[in-house]
Amino acid sequence: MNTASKHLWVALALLPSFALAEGSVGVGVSEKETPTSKSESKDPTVAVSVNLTPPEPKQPANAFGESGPVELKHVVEIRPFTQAGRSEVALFGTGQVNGKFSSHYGLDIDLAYHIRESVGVWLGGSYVIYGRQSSLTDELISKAHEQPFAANALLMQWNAAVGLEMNPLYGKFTIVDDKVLHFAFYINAGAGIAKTRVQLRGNDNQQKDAAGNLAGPSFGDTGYRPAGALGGGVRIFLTPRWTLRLEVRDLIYSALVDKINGCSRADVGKVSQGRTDVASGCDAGAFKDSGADAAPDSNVKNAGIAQDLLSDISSDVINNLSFYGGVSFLF
Amino acid sequence: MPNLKNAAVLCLVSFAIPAQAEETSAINQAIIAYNDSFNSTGSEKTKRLVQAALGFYEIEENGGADEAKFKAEYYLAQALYELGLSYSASHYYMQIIDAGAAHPYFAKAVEGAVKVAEAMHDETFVPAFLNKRYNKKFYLVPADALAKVHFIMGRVDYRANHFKEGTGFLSAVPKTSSYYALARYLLGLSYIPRPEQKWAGDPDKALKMFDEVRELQSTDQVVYADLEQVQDLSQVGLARVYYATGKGQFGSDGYQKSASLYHAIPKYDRAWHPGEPERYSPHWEEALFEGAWADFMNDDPGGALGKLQTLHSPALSDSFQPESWVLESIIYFQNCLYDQTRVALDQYDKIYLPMSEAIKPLIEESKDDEFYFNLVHEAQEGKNGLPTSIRLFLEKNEQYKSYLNYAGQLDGELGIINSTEGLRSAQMAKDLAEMIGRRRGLLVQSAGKFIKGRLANVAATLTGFEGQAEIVRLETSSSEKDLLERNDDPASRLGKQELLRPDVPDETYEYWAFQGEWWPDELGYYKYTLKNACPVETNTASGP
Repeated sequence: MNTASKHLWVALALLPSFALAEGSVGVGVSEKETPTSKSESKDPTVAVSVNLTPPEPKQPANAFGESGPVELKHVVEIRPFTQAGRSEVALFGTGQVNGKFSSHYGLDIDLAYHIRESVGVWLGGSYVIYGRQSSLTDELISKAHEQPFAANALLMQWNAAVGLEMNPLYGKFTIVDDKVLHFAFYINAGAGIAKTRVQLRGNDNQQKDAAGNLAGPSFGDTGYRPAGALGGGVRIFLTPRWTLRLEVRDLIYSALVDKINGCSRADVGKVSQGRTDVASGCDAGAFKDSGADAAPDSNVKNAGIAQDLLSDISSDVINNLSFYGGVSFLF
Repeated sequence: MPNLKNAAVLCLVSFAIPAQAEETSAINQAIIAYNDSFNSTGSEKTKRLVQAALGFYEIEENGGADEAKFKAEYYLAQALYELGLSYSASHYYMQIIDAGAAHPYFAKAVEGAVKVAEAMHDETFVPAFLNKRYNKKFYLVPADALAKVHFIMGRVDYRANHFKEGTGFLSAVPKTSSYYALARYLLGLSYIPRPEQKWAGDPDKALKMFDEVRELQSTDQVVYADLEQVQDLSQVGLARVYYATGKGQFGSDGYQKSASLYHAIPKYDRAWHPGEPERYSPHWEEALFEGAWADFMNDDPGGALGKLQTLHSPALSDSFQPESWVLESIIYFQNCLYDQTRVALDQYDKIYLPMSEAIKPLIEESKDDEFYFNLVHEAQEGKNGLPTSIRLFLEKNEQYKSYLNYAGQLDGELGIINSTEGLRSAQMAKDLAEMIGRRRGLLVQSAGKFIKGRLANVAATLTGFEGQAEIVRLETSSSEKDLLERNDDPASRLGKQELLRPDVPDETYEYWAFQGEWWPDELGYYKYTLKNACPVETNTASGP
C-alpha cells in the first residue's frame, strides 16, 4: 500500500455507510498492465447528431507539467444488436447500375449464417425479372446499324452463389426522437453460376407476329456461366431482428459467345435459310418465337440476327454491377 | 368465482336463520340483493351492492341476534369491497378480527384484510394491525391467505429490525404461495449481518436465499408476485453480501463477484424493448453507484470512474448521488491525481452545497405534518424550494409511494361515496366518510413524519459528505506538500505511462472511443484508463 492509500483509508473510514458497508481490508492500487492492443482499429463512430447536452468540462489543467492527458475515456458496450450464431434471411430488389449495353432488374434472396459477429457464410440466388439490352444498344442497332459484341450484351436470367461475408466496421447514428440506429458495413465474396442469354430482336423492333401485333424482343440461350460475386453494403438494425440492407454487388461472369441455342455460326446460318440439317445439340426450334401468334418465319429472322452476332466470336468478362436494397430477418 | 361461491354458501346458510321474523326478512333482503349483484353489471350491480350494504349496515349497527350481526358485519365488508370501498371494507374486516376467533367469520375476515392490503398496496395500516392481532388462532385462516399474513408479519418485523422474529414468519411462507419469492428475498435481506442492531445474521443463508430467488420460475400452479423485480433486487442483494464480505471469503474475491453482479443488473426496465424511448430499470442507478464502489475495491478504478461518469451524465443529472463525487475524488486521490481530485470535490460543492442550504429551512422551521405530506407534490409544481434531485429521491421511496397510493385510494373512496346514487345521503355514507377522514388524518401524520425523517436523513447525509469532502481536500493538500518536500517528479512518471484501451471481453461487446458525446446506448458502459502519479516503484497505467 502506498502513502496515498494509507492516507485515504482515514478518509474512507469516516465515510457514512450511505449505501454500502465498507470492508475491513485496506485499499490497494492496481498494478496490473492492461492486456490490450493499440492495434485495434474500430473507431467508426458516425456521430450524425449529438442528442444530449454535454456536461461541463472536467479535465483540469495538468499541474504536473507537460505529461499529457492522465486519463482516457472509453465505451465498452454490450452490442445492442448481435449477429453471431444467428441465421439471416434477406430479400432484395436489385437494379443494374452499370447498364451500358444491358439492363437488369430483379429479386434476390439470400440466406446467411453468422459464424461470428464479423464473419458469416451466405447462399443466395437472384432472378432477373426484366433483363434486356439497353436503349443505347437499341439505338446503335436502329440508327447506326451497329451492335455490341454478343459477349458485351450478354444478359443474365438468374444466378446462384455461395460465399463469405465479413463485417469490418460498425457505427451508429441518431434520427428523430434520439433514436439510435446501429449499422454495420460488410463485404462479401462468392462463387456460383449464372444462366445467360442474348437478345436477338431489339426492344423497339417493328416486326409483327401472325396476328399483326408487335412481336417484341426475342432471345437466344447462351447457357450457364461460372460467376463470381463481390459486394459491399450496410446493414442497418431497425430492431434486434429486422435490418435494412443496402448493398452494391458486382456479378462477374465469363462471356464467350460462340453458340446460341446450342448452335454454332454454321448451324445458325442453316436455320436462317430454313434448313434443319443442323448438328446435334443445336436447338433450331428455339429460334422460333413462342406463342400461338408467332410469325411462321420468326425462326429464320431470329437465326439471321444470331448469325450476325456470331460473325465475330466474342469473349469478355461481364461486370454486372447492381444495387441491392431490401430487408433481412435474423433468427 | 370465489365471490359467487361465497354468495351460494350465504344463500344456503340464510335458510337456517331461526331469528325474529323482521330481522330475518331484513338480512334476507340484503342477502338477495348481494347475491343478485353477481348476476348484474354496471349501474344495476352498483345499485344491488348499495342496497345490500345498507341492509347489512342497518343490522350491524342496530344489533340483533349475534348470528345475524356477525353475518351482516362480514358481508357488509364484502359488499363495500365490491363497491370499490377497500378501506371502508377493511374497517369491518378489522372489527371482526378484533372480535377474535369466536367470531364465525374471523378467518374469512383475515383473508379479506389481506385482500384489501394487496388492493391498496398498504404496507402500513393493515400490516400493523395484523401484527398486533396475530395469535395462534390464525391457523384457522386458509393456507394461501395465511402465507400472505406471514409475509406481511415478516416484513413488519424486518422493517422494525426484529430480524429473528421476521425470519421465523418469512420462513413459514411455503413455495406454493405467490409471495414465496418476495418472502425469500426478504429472508435474504434479514440474514445480512447488522452489527449496529446486534444481529449476527448468516451471510451464507443470505446468499442461498438470493440465489434461490434468482432461479425461481412461475408455474401453472403458482405465479410468483413481482418475480422479475424481486430477481433483480436479489441480484443487488447478492452483490451487497459479496461486497460486505470483501476479499478472501467464499473461496474467492467478494469484491470481484460483487462488481460482476452489479455490472449484470439490467440497464433497462424489464418491460422495455429496443427501439422504444429509453426507460431504465429502477435498480440501475443504485447498481451503478454501488458497482463503482465494488470496482474501486476490486482494484478497477477505471471501471469505477466509468460508472460514475454515467451517474454524472446529463441523462441522470437529477439523480441524488452526493457520495458519487466524493468517491470520484477518492479514486483520483488514490492515483495521486490531485487536480482531478479537486475538480470532483468542486463539482460536489457546486451541486450539493446549494441543496444543503435549500433544505435547511424546510427542516429547521416549524412545519406541520400536512406541510411535509404535501411537500413533494408542491415541489413538482415549483411551490417550494425542494431541489429536484431530492424530490426525485423522495418520490422513488417505496414507502412514500405506498402512502401516496393509500391517500389516492381514500380520496377515490370519498369520490365513490359522494357520487353513488342511493349511498351518498345514507347515514352509512356519513359514517364511512368520517372514518375515511380520520384515516386520512392518520395517513397525513404518518406520511408527513416519514417524509420529514427522510428529509432530515438527506440533510444529515449531505452534512456528512461535506465533511468527507473537506477531509479529502485536506488530505490532497497534505499529499501534494509531501511530494514537493520529497522533490518528487510526477510529471516524468506520468509521461512514461501509456494510456491504453481497456480490454474488450469478447465479441458480444463493441468498443467506442468517448469523445464527449452522450449517446443513450453508451450510458452504463463507460470505462476509464488512467495514469498513476503516486511515487511507487511499479507504477503502471491502471486499467481493468
